[in-house]
Amino acid sequence: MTDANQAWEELRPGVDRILNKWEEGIHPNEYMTLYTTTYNYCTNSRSTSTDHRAEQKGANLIGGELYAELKRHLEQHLQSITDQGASHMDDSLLVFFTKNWTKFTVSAATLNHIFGYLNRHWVKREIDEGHKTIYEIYILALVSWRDHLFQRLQEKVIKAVLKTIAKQRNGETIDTGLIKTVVESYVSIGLDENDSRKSTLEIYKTYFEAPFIEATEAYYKAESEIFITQNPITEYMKKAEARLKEEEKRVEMYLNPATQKGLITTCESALVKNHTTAIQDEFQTLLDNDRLEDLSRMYGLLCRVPDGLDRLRTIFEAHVRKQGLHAVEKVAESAAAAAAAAAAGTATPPNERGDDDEEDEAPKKKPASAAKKAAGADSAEIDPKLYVDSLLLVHKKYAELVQTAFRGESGFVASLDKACREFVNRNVVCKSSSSKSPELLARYCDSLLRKTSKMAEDNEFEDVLNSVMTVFKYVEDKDVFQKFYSNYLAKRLVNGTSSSDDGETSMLTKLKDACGHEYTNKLQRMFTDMGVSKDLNDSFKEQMERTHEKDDLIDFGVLVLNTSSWPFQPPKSGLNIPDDLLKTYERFQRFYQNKHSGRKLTWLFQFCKGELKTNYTRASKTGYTFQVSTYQMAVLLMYNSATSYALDELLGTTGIGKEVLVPTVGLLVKAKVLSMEGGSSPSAPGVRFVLNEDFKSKKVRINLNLPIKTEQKAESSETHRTIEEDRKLLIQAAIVRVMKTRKTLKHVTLVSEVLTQLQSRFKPQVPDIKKCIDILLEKEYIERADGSKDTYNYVA
Amino acid sequence: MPPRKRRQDSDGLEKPKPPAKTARKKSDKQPSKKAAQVAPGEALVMLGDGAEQRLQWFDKYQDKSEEHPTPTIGPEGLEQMCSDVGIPIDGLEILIVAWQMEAKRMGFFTLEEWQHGMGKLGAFSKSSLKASLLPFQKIHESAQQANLRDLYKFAFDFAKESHQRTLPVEMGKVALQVPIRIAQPLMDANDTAHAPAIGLWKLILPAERFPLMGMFLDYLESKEPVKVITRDQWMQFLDFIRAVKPNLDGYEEDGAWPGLLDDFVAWKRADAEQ
Repeated sequence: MTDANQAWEELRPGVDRILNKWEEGIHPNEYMTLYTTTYNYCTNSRSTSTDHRAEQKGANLIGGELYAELKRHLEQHLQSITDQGASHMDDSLLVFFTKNWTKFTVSAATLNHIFGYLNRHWVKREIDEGHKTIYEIYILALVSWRDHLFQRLQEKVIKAVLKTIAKQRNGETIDTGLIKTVVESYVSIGLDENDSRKSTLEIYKTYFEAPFIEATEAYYKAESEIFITQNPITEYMKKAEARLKEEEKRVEMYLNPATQKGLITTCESALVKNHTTAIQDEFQTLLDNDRLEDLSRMYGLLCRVPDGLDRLRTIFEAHVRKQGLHAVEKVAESAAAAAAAAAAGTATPPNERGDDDEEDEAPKKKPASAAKKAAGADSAEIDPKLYVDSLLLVHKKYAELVQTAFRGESGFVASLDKACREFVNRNVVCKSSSSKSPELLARYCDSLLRKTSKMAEDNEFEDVLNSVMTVFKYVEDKDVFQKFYSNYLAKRLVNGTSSSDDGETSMLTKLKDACGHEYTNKLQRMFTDMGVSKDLNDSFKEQMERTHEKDDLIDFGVLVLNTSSWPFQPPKSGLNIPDDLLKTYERFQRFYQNKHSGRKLTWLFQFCKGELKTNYTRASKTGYTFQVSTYQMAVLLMYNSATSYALDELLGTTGIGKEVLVPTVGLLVKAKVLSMEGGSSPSAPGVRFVLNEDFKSKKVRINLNLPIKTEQKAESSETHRTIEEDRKLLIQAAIVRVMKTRKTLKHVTLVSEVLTQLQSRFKPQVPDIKKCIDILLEKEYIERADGSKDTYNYVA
Repeated sequence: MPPRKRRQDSDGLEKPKPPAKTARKKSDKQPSKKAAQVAPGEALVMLGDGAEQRLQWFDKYQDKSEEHPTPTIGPEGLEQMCSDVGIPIDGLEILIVAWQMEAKRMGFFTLEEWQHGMGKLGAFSKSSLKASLLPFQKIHESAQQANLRDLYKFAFDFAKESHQRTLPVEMGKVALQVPIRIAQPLMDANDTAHAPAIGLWKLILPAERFPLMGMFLDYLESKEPVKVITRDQWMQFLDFIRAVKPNLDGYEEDGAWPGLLDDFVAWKRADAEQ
């Protein structure tokens, strides 16, 4: 009997007990005995070999036989367990398998300790010398398990596992601990070929994960196909969502985390990807019915599969656009209806728009043509507030939807922006002129910032301005907005109708933030001029009071405005300044020229106004105060010398052009300050304008200075004309800028760069850009490159 | 060939007719001393490089009035020459001659230009000129020919008023009937001659050969989109006619064609749809 046999015989009963009766434990004494036996065996054998070198050479000598015995024993042990296991099926097999696994691993750990000395010396050296089939005792046990038990039982085990999981998916309760242990065992026996002390997931992946995922796919494929045909999509989505959650939990519960990705991808593919089209088809219906929760769920599902959202974005964009267009159509229709009603004379025109926009003049004059006009929605007056509000309402609704249901996903944000840009710039109201949107927006701003505005709360006011900026962001023709805004601002400042400086400043800051300093430069300077004018007035007044008697002065104020910053044109009509005003006019002229010699003052009489006090009225002894325009003043002052004039006499004395004078006098006649005698048309021969000395009014101060409709119309078209011209120059400047930096450029690139440069102002049409290129070619700023028909060179 | 003399002034302007016949009649009535100077020239055919003959030939048509700083053939002399050679005063041939001479001013050839151009053509008499023009008959056979581009380019500068950058599309209805008269040009108030773009086009790129030309002229005449043609539009049109087929194949919307040509294509397409 060799040493090894003898040692093994001593060890064997202990090993058996450890393997079979592990639950009884092992007494420390016995443990010590076993360990010592191993130790003795290894050291004794070694002591026979005194030569240190021989020890290194004879690697096989000590421990190898004992190791082989143990290995054989483990194999036998496992064979017998496997044989027992062959009779078990399904659940009982799992119970059997997990029980033995637990037992075996504990035993293996114990053995590992008992053979600790062997591990540390013989095994270690074997491994160091590169013997791949020698393992530490614990590992040896696992390898044996793998090779002898696992190989034979795994097919049945995984079947049982899958059956159990399917049961759980069907709603039955299972013992998840069993599967958890099975998974652990699969992971444990996954050993790295190159380094037995490390483990890999290979066994788990091959023998567990792969069949598991395959089964999962089959399960959900079958389930989803049946479910989707028998239930509405919304129900299906709920189901799919729940299933996905369930599977995620399953990984947490008893699978290896590495399985998560593959499992979820498989589920997503079976539950979502396979049904993408069917789910997407439901999207429109959900949008139409504002099913927020379902939309959110759909997003949650489809965002899991590649390209699942693309179609949703397209549908969403079209939907928002349609909603926006529809909202605008409604506004246009109601405006048309209002106009038609007004035209028919059955109702008074809506008066809510404020004094500037009253429209009762036109319908009375030509009811027939007005009614015809009203038939086309675009010719009807659109209420700016209603218009902007309706745009905002659509935007707000869908911006919220994007934020909540679509979690603010950037693709949907882009779709929303695109859709909004479409319906803000190209809707039924803009049909006649693409710049209608910015014009209406500017008018809305005016109504907000004018004194008549009812907005009291500061916070609320800020919110409204912010919402204006939301629409502004989408407006393509920002230059149009700028023009109109500057017109309205100019009027607010000149007429003193601005509601508050804070409001104006706040709006200006917002515009500056959105478009840069250059955009608001002129607007800013308008405010500066107002401040300068105030000082100027003060010093003028002061000087006049010093140099003139009080009786000689009239209350006079003036605004001196820089021509380049203000959108005002010199008056079209002449005016002979009435004698009563002439002195003051000349004094100020002298005063200003003294201060700033060389500057040219252009008097904008069309914007001037004043007050006249009556002393002729029989109805009131104290007299009335008329607030009048300069033109009206010129006319009325004539009545200080006579009480009746023909139109020609008024024309001659005032020097006002006929096209201005007729409506001016018309307002006075309408207000019954003058009466028309001898005809019904102001320009009919023989008509005389007579001072109405019986003028009566409940008010003491009467505002006669009402806007003249035709003037407003002309102003608007004038504004549009200047915009066109400005744009041409802007495009040319952009082309030259681009060409100057790039020197040589292809046509297509040039056009796209010009578009990019100008997009913050407006969206030029490509033919317009081409026309400007033509102009610059002609002016020889650029030339066509030789031999290439679509390339330009910059000509320095 | 019998010697000829200058025709009476206004005749050619009022009634453009086949010049040869009229000229013959008139010359019969009014023989002149200039005719005598020309006769020897005909006999010197074989001498030198031809400069001498060309000088004598030039002398035959030279405007001897004092108004020219350098020896120059004026409109009347030119018309006479055309009729002698047997080419129309408003034809492509005389434009080609002017092109070869690199003539600066419509209706006038200076001696220098004459020597240069006739030398290039190898012409020293009416018969040799006629023969030398033969190779050019096919100049517009194909739009791809290189010298067509040269001629085309020359025509623009030649036809426009020197201080203008552009060429008028047309000059009233009278001018339309007589497309271009290089030999007897229409003078404006400043006594400078120019020709309308339409006339030049008809001459250089005849619609029979270039269907697009015909369509484009229709467009210009019916829609009157522009009053003048810029150099770029003029030059690009030749490229256009080279690149684009009569059915508009080969035209690209986002190409770099001048706006006028884009508008033309849009018009043509809208027309075709109806």
